[in-house]
Amino acid sequence: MTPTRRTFLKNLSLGSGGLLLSPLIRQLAAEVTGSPEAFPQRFVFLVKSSGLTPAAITPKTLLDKKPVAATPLVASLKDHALPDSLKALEPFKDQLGIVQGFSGKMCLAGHTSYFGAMGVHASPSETSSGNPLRATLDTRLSSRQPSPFGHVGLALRGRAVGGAGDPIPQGTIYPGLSALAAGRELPFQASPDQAYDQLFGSALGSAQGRKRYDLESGMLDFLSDDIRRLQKEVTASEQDKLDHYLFAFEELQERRKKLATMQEVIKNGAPELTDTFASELGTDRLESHFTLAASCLITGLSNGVTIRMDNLEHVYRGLGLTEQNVHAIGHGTGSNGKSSEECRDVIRSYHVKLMVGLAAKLRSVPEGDGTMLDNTMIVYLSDAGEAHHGALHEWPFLVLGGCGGRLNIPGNYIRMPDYGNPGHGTIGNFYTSILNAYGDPIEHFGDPDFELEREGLPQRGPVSSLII
Amino acid sequence: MNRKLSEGRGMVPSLPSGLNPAILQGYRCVINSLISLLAPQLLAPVMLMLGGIVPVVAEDESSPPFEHGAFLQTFFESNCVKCHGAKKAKGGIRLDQMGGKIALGHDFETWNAIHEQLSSGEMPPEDAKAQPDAAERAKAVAWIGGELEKAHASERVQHLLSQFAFGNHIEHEKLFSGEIKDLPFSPPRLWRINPNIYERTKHRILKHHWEELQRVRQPFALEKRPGINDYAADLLADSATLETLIRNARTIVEHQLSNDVAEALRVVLESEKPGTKQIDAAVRHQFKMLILRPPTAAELVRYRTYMLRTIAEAKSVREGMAVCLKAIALIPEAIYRMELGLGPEDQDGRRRLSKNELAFAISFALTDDPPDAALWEAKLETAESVRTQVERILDEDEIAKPKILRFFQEFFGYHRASDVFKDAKRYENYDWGNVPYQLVHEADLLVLHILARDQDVLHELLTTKKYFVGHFGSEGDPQELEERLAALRLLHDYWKDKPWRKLKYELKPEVRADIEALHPYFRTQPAKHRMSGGLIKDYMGYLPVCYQNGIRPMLAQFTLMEGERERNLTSAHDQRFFLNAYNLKFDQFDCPTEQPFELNPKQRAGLLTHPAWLIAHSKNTDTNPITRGKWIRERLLAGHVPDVPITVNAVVPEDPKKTLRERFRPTRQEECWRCHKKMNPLGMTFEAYDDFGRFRTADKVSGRPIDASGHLDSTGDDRLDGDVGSAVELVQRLGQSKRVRQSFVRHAFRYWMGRNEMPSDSVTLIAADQAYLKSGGSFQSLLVSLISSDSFIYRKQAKP
Repeated sequence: MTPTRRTFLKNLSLGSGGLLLSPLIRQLAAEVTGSPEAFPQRFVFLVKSSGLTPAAITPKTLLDKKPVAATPLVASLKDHALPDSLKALEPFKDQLGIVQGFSGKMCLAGHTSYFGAMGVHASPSETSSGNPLRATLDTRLSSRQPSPFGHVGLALRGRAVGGAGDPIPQGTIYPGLSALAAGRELPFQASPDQAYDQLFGSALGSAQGRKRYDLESGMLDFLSDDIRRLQKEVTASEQDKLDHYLFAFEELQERRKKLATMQEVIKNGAPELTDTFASELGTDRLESHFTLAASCLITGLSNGVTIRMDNLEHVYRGLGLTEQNVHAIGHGTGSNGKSSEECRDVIRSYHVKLMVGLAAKLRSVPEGDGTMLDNTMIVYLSDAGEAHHGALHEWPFLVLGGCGGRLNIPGNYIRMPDYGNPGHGTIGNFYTSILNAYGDPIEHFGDPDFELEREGLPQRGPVSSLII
Repeated sequence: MNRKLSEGRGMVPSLPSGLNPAILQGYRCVINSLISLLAPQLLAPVMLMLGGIVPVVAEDESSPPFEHGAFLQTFFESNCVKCHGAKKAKGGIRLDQMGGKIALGHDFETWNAIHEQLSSGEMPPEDAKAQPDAAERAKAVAWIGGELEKAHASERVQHLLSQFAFGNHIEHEKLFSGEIKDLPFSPPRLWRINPNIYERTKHRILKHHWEELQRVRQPFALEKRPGINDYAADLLADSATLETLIRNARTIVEHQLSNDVAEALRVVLESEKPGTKQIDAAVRHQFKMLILRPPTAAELVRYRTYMLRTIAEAKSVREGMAVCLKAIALIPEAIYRMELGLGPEDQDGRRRLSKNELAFAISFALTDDPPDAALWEAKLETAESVRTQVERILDEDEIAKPKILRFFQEFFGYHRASDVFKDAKRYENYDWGNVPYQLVHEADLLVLHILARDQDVLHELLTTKKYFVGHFGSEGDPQELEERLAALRLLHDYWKDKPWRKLKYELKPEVRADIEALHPYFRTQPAKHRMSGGLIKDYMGYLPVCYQNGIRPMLAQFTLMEGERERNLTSAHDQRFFLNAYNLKFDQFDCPTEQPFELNPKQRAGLLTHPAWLIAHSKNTDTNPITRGKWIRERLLAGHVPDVPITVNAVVPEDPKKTLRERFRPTRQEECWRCHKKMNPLGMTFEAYDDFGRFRTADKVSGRPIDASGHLDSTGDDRLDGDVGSAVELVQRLGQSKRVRQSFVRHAFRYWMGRNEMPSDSVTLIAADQAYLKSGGSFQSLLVSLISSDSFIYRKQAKP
């Protein structure tokens, strides 16, 4: 038994909330099978609005560096200081990747590309997210890592453009970002307290949340009886249809049963329900979402989380930017005595701090010879590419975590050849690389860029140098 | 639901006679594993149709050996295997490997193709050295035919034949010959609620509460597959549906108990210990809102008991009632319409739909709403009384009947234009975004206009020379439009010397007042359609060009309402872009106030040359003669083109020096041409339009002239069959064809019955065709005939 494990077990016996049972079980399983494959892979996508400026996430010493010929530029981050707004990531530099130069011009350019950002296709207009054409990258990745809740969506706000106005939305919302399949949008939970009840309510939750959970369990049983009764009254071919419906109930009940067996894990792993979960302040809520995400992954309730960080209407009151919303700041208006660029730095630094907080929690959980962070990929991106009004010539990403040792991204600054040049890739190529690295054999993910096609530049398949 | 109907077809259908015991054994295997045993080439489309829920299981090893006897084996060996053996496997077909599981439905499509090729004498090909003698050929054809007929009894084939794509497998001539005298019926069934009905229900409850409306999501979305989608047989509710429904139920019930609380619910909420009467009222209310009918006595007792129980368990009236109200939103009838046939049985064993079943069926056949009062009150005991109700609903303008337009969208498929991902830059560098929506809208207007006249509907749809372009629709009064144009002129004169470029979207009140003083038109607009800074800027960029060139401008169109979907259609700015698809230019297009109007009749005739249809049947960067040809073959000529064999990698060779027709030359190879001859000669006539629907005489890439000639066959009418010079000529001939008319009737049947036609529907189809014919091509007459037919009204278990 390694010292890490001993410490870990000791912490567990002391009932420490941050250290949990389920990773231990996984670890034991991994040792029995002798395969790191036994560790689930986790995926976190953090989607901001208003673009992610490439220069702002590039080390100063790499600002002028461009790829030579048709191969991506790869530089080890350990030789370069991170820009100011990424300072909090210094201790995680070995597991940080800065990925730049992939284009996304098949998506709708402007204030947001909606599903396009992770689904690689155009949406009908700025005010309409339209229908997702396929499962987006985030849910597609986690669909291969089954868990009781599947992919979890948490959102501070809804659609990037044309939201419901200033009040922060409550309950289930549909920001037009993630899709489970063509035409099937992933629901996001905007209220951290409700998310808490839904995720941890089977074991914990508010008194009301628990009561509702139990009552709904009873309702599923009651309705199953109803369906069985009706089944006796219809012909065989129609019984099949009811069978399907009944099966759906049984699946839900199955999940509830599974959750019932995880009571200890959930109790140990659930965060403490504080007032911030119901706070009206955006920053409180966003922090609560991150707390939920960490617990969700650590308990194994889910292996995939997407967090909608903000939208264009959001005003970062909690960061002292009370005068202007993200939209105005994106259009160059300063706020509270700061220039637009300074405001963007403040917001980015804050997002990075949250990301680091999440990574630190995952790093505190041992897994095999390493930590849970080794088997996690956290991707920070914007739904509008490289700028507030992205032209989508490039789409910058921050990637944090060990990525299960499958990708050549951690520890590196990677820059693809510019748009239109040989060796250039689209986000379709980038996402294909990630999917392939995680065992998804897809040939190419997403729609093509016709402009590149006209230029005769190949754009199908993965960037093989990214895959280990 | 008090009658048991399980005595109909059981899980194991009656076994076809004449099968040997080995086959019988295999037969049971098939039933048990059903779809999992489908031939791989058939599995793919079925998997798609079922949304990938079918588990893929390896071929059942215990299937019986092929018992086709030495004869067929020898026949294949001496006549076919040279080309269709291990060495060549032409067309991907290997006859040395065909398992003999025809009767089980294995390789059903392939065996069908073999049967067709042999019986038509197309195989072996003329130049083949060995030819079977006539007797041998007849024997092989008879044997395969016999086995295929048996295969129709297999669940696998039954399932396939229940899919829209297999609708044309029933011989057309036989259906319309009049020789079938069977009494028509539909099988008893559960039919998943149509998404549009759910939308309406949701709006009825949530009204204008925007946030909740956003939160309640569609659980029953239909895929936008080509053809008719809402088929009772293949729509299931799975766990994804259920999860959405539960989430929706939470939102809906939370809303019901918090906003505009209905009296029946309020009384319970405010009572500390609600009594039976109060609870009954709440249950009744919820049934009415979500199930759209009152609960039966048994249901009332069951849900009353349940609500009392949940209130006790929750120790809270509100929480307890909420659970019961949510449960009602999830009962099977909230998911499936029940069309079991609960009415009386006739001497032929057919059960009528009960009065309630029929009222729902009629209402949902035409609208998205539950039956209205008159329909509830109608007796509906005879076909005549059904007909009266259908005619009444059709006549009442106030009743919205969106289902009719949707049929034409699904039949023609033009509404899928917006789903084809296009390269905007090739569209004259124009913004493509809203263009397909506008084109679909204009195709809709054309359909509605033709339906309103209700004469020679199909012929008009196929051949009309008149189109709507940049117009509000046929309800737009030309006089009123002239008034609006006059108002625009005043707007232009008012702004022309003012700094309109600096306008913000929201107009200042004094500016708005000034505009409203210009012309009464600006006062009559509902708030959301009022002038905005953006719209004025759009107009000011457009109007001067119009006045300079002496043309009437187009009026901006704001929104199109269809249920919840309300989208900005076109601003004056966007309008300039879609004109290009009609080969019109915005600075020269003199927009007629009276529409539809004649476009160039040499270039355009009917919906098939409408840009929306052409785009919907195009590829990302190319036209699509194959899909267009297949469309005509299957939708209009009642024919069938098999899917591309999986062994064929159908790729059109790239060559910038050739037209698409020239690049399609490889399909002329014998093994390809057998299928391609059914499509290419029809589809190639549309090469006179590019993939944005624009008429052209030369190919842009190769610069070579377009050859739009083609050939029409199989109309069953010698005067119509033969070479055609253009798509316009083709559609004019199609418009005169009896077969095309009957094929259209078959599709209307499928849409309104939610299933493919069976031979026993012959009487219904002939009656509908005759009703249409005798009324001078009235679609309403066709519809009345279908909805009052026995196929619509009666239920009986179909014999396999």
